[in-house]
Amino acid sequence: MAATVELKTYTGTNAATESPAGDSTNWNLQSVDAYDSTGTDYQTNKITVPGAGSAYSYERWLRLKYTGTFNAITNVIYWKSAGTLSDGALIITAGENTTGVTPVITNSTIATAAIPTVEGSAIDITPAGGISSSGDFTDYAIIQLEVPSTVVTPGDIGSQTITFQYDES
Amino acid sequence: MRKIISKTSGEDLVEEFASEDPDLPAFNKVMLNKGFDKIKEFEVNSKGYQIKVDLVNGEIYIDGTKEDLELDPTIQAQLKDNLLKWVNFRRVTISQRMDGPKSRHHKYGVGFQTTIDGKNIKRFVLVDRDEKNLVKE
Repeated sequence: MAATVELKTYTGTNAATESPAGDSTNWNLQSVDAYDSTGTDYQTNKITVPGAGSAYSYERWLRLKYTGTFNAITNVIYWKSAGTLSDGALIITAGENTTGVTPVITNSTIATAAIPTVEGSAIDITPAGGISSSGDFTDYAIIQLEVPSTVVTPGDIGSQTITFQYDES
Repeated sequence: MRKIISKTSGEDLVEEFASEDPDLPAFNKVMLNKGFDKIKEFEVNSKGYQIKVDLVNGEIYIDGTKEDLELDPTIQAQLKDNLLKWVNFRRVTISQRMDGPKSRHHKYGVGFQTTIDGKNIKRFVLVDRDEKNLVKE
């Protein structure tokens, strides 16, 4: 058997609540600290354009879980591979962390840089201890949406795609 | 395409690299059973490039041009003693749309360790299996 990989979403204190039981089906960015279990929750948990400054989504905390039979997983990286934001003022930021920290809806101190959009500048989430046993995880990938007051386009921000890449041996 | 020739063993390894079953541990076992760790060199024609791997001297040639391998001297010595330090790998990309659908893309290749602990593996993709169609999961 080759490795089985699942995308997990983390919420709550110290990002300790893992959802869902299987593979995450989306990473919708919302105004509540919860996994979008229906895939449509984001429509009612939107981020309103502020009168001044910026509003933010809750940080989205993600990581990959590996199970099954494999020798090692290495070079785990992620980047935004597709998607155009509906308004030029919108910003998606991203970062990486080794431990879980409670997600915030204020300006993230972890997802501080614009999410990379090419593989060459992707964010490395390979854990220092490596991934060599069934049940091992990557480090956390943290993503946040910033909505500045200058945004004028209403509605969905447009479908974005993140890509995770790793080597399995 | 994907033709792999073992000059020393005479075995054709095409079926393993092109296998429909991407099971790497099983793949490793098959390769070891075939004595792949005793092979001195092999050639691969992949995506229009001719790749020659000289395992004894730790050299890789693409279309006749030597590539920089930067092998650790200790590993080089082990290679010469036929204690081959190589690893075959599967490179997986999983693209997840914000609103759901995923796609998977697999590549297969071999790598050579440049340090004793197995880190800093220099990798060469040999087979590119495109599975880019988005699949709702």
